[in-house]
Amino acid sequence: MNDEVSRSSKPPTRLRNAALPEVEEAQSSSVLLGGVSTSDGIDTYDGAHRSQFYELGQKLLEESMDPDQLLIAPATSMHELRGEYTGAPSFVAQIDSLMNQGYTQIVRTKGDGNCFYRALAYAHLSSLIDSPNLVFSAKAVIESGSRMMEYNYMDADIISTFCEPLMELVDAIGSSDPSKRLTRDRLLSAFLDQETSNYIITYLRLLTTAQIQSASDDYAGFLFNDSGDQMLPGEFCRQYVDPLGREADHVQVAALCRALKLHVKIAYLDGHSRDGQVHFQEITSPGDGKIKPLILLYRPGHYDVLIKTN
Amino acid sequence: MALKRINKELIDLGRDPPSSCSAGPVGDNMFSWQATIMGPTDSPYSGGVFFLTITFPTDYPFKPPKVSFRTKIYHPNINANGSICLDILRDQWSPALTISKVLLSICSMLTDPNPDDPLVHDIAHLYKTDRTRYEATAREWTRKYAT
Repeated sequence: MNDEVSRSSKPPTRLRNAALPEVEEAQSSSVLLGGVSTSDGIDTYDGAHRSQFYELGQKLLEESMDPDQLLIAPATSMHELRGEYTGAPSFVAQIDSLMNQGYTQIVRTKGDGNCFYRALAYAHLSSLIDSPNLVFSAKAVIESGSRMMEYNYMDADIISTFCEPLMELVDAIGSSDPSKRLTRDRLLSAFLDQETSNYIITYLRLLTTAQIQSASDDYAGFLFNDSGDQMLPGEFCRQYVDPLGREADHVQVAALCRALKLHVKIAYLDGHSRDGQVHFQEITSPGDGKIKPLILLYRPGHYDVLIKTN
Repeated sequence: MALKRINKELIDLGRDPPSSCSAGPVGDNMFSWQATIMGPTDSPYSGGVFFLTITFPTDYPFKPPKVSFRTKIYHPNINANGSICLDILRDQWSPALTISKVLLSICSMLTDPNPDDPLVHDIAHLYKTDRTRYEATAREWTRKYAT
C-alpha cells in the first residue's frame, strides 16, 4: 500500500468529489488501482473559477438529462452535444478538440446512476462486434469473473441467472447463423429493454464487488463513504456497488475494468481547460494486450460512450 | 423472470431453511408470501412467533420485496402498522439478496435494534435511556401478542 496515498486526508478516488483531478493524486493512485494513469498538463483554473465551472457544467448536464430519456440512444453526432453547450465556450472548445481527434459520435446513456456500467457494457460489446476474434477470450474472462463471484460466497445459481443475458449477447456476436448474429441494432435493442439492462448491470455490479473483495488490499485505502470515513470492503460494496442506481466512482471503475481485463480511456468534458484541451484518464489492465481502448465520455456525474471515426 | 427467481428461492428455502425462520406462498399467488420468525433466544422477543407478510414486486429482484410484521411487536425499527425500517428493504436493496437473507437480517435486527435510525422514536429513546424498561415492555408484548 502506498503510504502517501493512504494518508491522504480526503478521498482521492471519488470522481464525484474530484471533478478537477489533481495530477499528483491521479498519478499516485495509478500504482494502486491497476494502471490508472493520467496525462500531464491539466490546465486547471484557480479555485475561484473551479466552483463556477463545476456549477455551469452541472447545470448544462442536468438540462441535457431528460427523465424520460431512453436507457441508451443510437449514436448521434457530437455536433448535437456541442449545440447543448452554446454559451459555455470552454466546453465547446473541448468538444471541438474531441471532434478534431476523430471522436465525432456519442452514444448517450440514461443518467439513472447505472450509466457507467451501461456505457462500459455497451462499449465492450460494441467493440467485440468489430473484433469477433476476441469473443473467445472475452467469454473466458466473464466465466472466470463468475468463478471469482462464487469464491466470494455469492450464490452460483443467482450469478448464472444474472450472467445469462450478457453471455447470450456475447455468444451471438460469434454466431455462424446470420439471423442470430449480433448487430449494432440488435445490441441497442437489447440495451433498451429494461429487464435485459437490469440483468447486465446487476451482473457487472456483482462482478465489481467480487473484484474489490478478492483484491481488497489493493482497494482498502480508497473506500470512503459520503462523509469521507473509511469503510471496510464488504460494507462499501453493500452500500456503493451492489444496489442498482448507485453511481460508480473511481474505485468501481478501476475494479470493473480490471475484472473484465479492459483497456479504457475516459475523456473528461469538464470545461476546465482554457484552450479546449481534454484530459483522458487511461485505465489499463494486466492482460488487456494491445486491444483498442474503449472510449467513454465523462461529465461530472455521468458517463456516455464516444465513437471514433477514422 | 420474477416468477422464475421466486420459485428458485422457494425451492432453496425448502432445501436449506434458515434456522428460526420459514417462508412460503399463502395461496396460488407466488407473489404473495407469509413468513414466520421465532424470537431470537438472546432477545426480549424470545419465545414469540412473529408472522410477516411478503409481497414481491413484478420486477423482483430488481426492486426489493415489501416485508411487514403482521404480529404486533415492540421494537424501535418496527411501527404499529408492522412496517420495518431496514436499509436492505429500501435503498440498500441488491438484486443478489434473497428472502432468506432478508429474514436473517430481520432476526439480527430483533437482537440488535438500530436506535439511531428509528421508526418509533419513543421506543428508540427508551432503548437508549432505560434498557431494562424497554426489555420488559418488549417481553410483555411478546407474551401478549406473539405466543
